[in-house]
Amino acid sequence: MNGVGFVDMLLAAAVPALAAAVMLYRDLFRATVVFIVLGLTIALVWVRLDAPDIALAEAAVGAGITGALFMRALGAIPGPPRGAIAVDRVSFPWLAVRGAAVVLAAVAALLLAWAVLTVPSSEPVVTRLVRDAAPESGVGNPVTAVLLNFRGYDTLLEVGVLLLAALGVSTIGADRHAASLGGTRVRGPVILAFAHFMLPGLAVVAAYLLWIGADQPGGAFQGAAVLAGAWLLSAFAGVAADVPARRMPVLLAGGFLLFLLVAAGMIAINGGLLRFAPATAKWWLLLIESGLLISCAAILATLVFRLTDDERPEAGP
Amino acid sequence: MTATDLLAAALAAAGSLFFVAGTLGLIRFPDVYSRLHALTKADNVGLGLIVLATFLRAPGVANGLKLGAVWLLILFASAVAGHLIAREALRRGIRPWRRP
Repeated sequence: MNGVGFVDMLLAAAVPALAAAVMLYRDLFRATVVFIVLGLTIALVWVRLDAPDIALAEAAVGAGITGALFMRALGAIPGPPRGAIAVDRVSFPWLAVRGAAVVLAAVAALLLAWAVLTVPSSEPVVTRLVRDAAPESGVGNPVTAVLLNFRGYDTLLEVGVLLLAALGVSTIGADRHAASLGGTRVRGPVILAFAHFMLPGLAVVAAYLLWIGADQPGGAFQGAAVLAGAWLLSAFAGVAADVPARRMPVLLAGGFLLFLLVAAGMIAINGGLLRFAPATAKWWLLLIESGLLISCAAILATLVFRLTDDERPEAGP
Repeated sequence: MTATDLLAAALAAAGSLFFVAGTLGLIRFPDVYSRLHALTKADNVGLGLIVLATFLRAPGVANGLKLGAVWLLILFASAVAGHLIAREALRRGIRPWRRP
């Protein structure tokens, strides 16, 4: 990266402006749209900071899946028609809560600014450690090496958290009997043809992101976001039969269980939890990531599908 | 600066012009249908020109072809999204604008 240019300054100005717009719009639909734009802008910022892995994750999860979640939640919120939302009364407890939130956010921002400004300009120790150890990780992409090998334990627990979230939503959420989108289906020949055309390609892209993640930006989580998007598309278009409800737990938990199994197996083989031999590490990581790809896609799709119960009759003919 | 660079810059500038025109339509046109018309057409041409510009400067033909694939995918996606939005608007009973 060479110097700060005009584009960087534009991005730096756009992020706080968009974030403020998200908070200030009374119309939740507009706020959601701007939130998606904000996510994509932050992805561009990561690109400019030479962090393409995070950029991919931000675009796919931060803007894509989270945007879909918000849109879906929005569709389920009963309330006055769009554009006619009453200004909420700012009563005392709310004023106090908001004031406290503003103060806390300002303190956090100052601390962050202080942390960024006091970062030593020399290369951090951890960067050197990761680079020196990279050949033993079995993969060429340092981000994947950290995520699945050096700090695989963290990722294992994170996937556990994701699984718990999906199980929680499945338990208390609506529509417990099928992973379908019910009344929100957008039937029609155009979207059906589009889905038929796109789905194989999206599956290939997801697998490609997983495979390329070993050496270049990408990985199981970015692939899972693409796969979850494909899942949503097929459900919206009404393409295929839904996954039977009794299969869903297998899809949801399979990746985590496989990860756990490999982690425990490494104790027997190499004498340590998640301790890989450099020669075979790549294949173990690939196995773990393949499981995570399917499971994380199922988890993300479940979060969107079962968040709300909107079995409203379709308008029109 | 070579002739290729100049051509790329000209194409990118022309593409940006189409984006500006599309955005102007989005802001100024009277109803959802005409706004969709402005966006889905102008922006696709603008993106095509910018993809052409980056194609000229892409390291290797394979990378350039990937950019072309991105453009094709966006053509499909924006056409379908435009159709879906327009159809939903019609279903909700939004009448197409006519000159008063």
